[in-house]
Amino acid sequence: MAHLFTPAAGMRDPLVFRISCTIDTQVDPALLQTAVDQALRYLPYFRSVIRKGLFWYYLEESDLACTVHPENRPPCSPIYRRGKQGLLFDVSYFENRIHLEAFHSLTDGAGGVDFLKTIVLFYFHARNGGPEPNLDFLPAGIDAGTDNIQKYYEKSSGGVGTKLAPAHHIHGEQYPESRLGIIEGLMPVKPLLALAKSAGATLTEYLTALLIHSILRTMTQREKRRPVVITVPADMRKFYPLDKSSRNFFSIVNISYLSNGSDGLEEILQHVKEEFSEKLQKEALIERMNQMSSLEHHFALRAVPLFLKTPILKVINIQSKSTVTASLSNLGVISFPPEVQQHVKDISIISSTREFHVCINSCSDVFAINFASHYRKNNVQRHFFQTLAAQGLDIIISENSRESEARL
Amino acid sequence: MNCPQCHVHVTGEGKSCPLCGTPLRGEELLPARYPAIPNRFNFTRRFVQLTAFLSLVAAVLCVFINYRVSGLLSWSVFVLLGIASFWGALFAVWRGSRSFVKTLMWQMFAIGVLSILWDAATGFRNWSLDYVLPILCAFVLISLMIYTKITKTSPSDSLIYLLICAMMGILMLVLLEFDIIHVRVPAYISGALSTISLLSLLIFDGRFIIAELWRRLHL
Repeated sequence: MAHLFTPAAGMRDPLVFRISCTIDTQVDPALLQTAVDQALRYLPYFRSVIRKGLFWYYLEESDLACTVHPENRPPCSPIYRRGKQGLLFDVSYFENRIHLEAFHSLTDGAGGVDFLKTIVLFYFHARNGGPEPNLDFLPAGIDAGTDNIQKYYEKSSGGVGTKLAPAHHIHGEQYPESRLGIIEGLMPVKPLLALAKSAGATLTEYLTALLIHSILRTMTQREKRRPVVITVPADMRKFYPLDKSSRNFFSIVNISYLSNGSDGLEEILQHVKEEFSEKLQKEALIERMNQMSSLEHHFALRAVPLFLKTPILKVINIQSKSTVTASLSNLGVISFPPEVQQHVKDISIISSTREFHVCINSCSDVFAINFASHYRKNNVQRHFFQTLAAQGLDIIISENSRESEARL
Repeated sequence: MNCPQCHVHVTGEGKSCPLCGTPLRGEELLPARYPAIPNRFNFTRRFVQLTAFLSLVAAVLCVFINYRVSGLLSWSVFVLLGIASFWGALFAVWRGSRSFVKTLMWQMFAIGVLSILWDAATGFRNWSLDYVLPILCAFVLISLMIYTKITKTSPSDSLIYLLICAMMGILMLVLLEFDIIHVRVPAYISGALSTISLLSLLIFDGRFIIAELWRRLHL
């Protein structure tokens, strides 16, 4: 997927995601630097840089060093600059938070979580001493760069995807400098789980339905003629537990809902559950994954030189985005061994996006929901969190700085 | 702080709710989770805007004066060409601005193309092919070699460019053979330099070149 992601990265969507870990005290930069150096010894794959071939970009391991620094750029700022050779991830800190940002050609959310976990484990090892952390969850150094999407690629029978109707798009005035507006909601896990359970759904299903519901509430009657489509990435590692790798290994599920006038939450939830049970099957996911990488195997496109291929891939990428309203990534439960877990307050994940991206995950009994959007209006976020708060959930809302007074 | 409308807690020192804009209530300040990050002043953009403005004004003014004075366009055409060349060179610098080797290559390309164009526009006395291209070629070849020796960068970065340059130098000899280039000395110099560097590359780094080409040409 490095092949397809790299040309698609731009100012608006630099294809970067951020995983932040909040700990119990101020971050010590020296300890963090040690921890990152240690983690890189176990995950040399993350030292890869992007190089340009005549036909494709490719990843190559380097011996560049990573220097941690105070947080000084907006979340999910571009990491990969065309032609500039540098690491494809960045570690920064602010007060008691450690941020890992990574370029999506290098790894996906699950790979990034493993990397951050390793850094945090080494951080507390350096701070508190004790035995060397147990890193069984990591892929072996030599496997980390294995491209499992390639490994399991089979020419998909359905051709290059069926043509989809354009989906509804959130639009409006945007923040300057392509900045993302982040709205984060933290809440306790148990009441939220109970809420989903009482509706007879899983958390992903419930929150997807709530997201569709919130988006529908901001739409005009005219706009409702188009479906709301939520794309949900699915980690493929759980189907192949033996194939550990840090590289991208995911497929996607598209949940589409067309308004029928009444649009109650229960009604949407019912529809979402049906779609998930149909599309979240291993075969369907593999089929979708093959469709995604079929471009990489397209015989005519392969032989086009890179400088011509880049614009083609950009157009295809934007076109595929036009069939999607928003994305929702569930990174699941992130856990540490108990001696570290007690020092970790929460983990929170943000993804850059062309339009609208929601990331959810939990850690230490804190459930984090992050909205990333380019648009100043945040009606969707408001409906979403107000609905949850009305159910009695105790929510803590945070936002990033979008613009400052100091403008020239 | 709390929002009475949304019934949520809000972190940071903001005065109103990020969701609905209602003024916040409460005493207890939750620590901010994001630092304030000032907007950056985009120097490059301002520079390009200013330069574009000045060059457009100059172009319009010259064409106007030229036309008013002599009734036809004569010297102002050269002013326009000059402005276009300037932008071409600027673009080349910008394209390569991320690495020295790239800047060098793009400059060579820009100077080469521009000098051929200027030569063609001024009656094609062949100075661009006779002198500029061979000298340029030799100059870039020497610079590349010195650069890789001094900075000890991974040779894979400049390797492809060295190859391209060497090919260009040999092309000069071919052009001389076909009588497109008439002056011998510059072409001989660049040809000889290219042949020597090509041979040394093949002998000392042959395996490396093949591996590198294999990676770069991967379909």
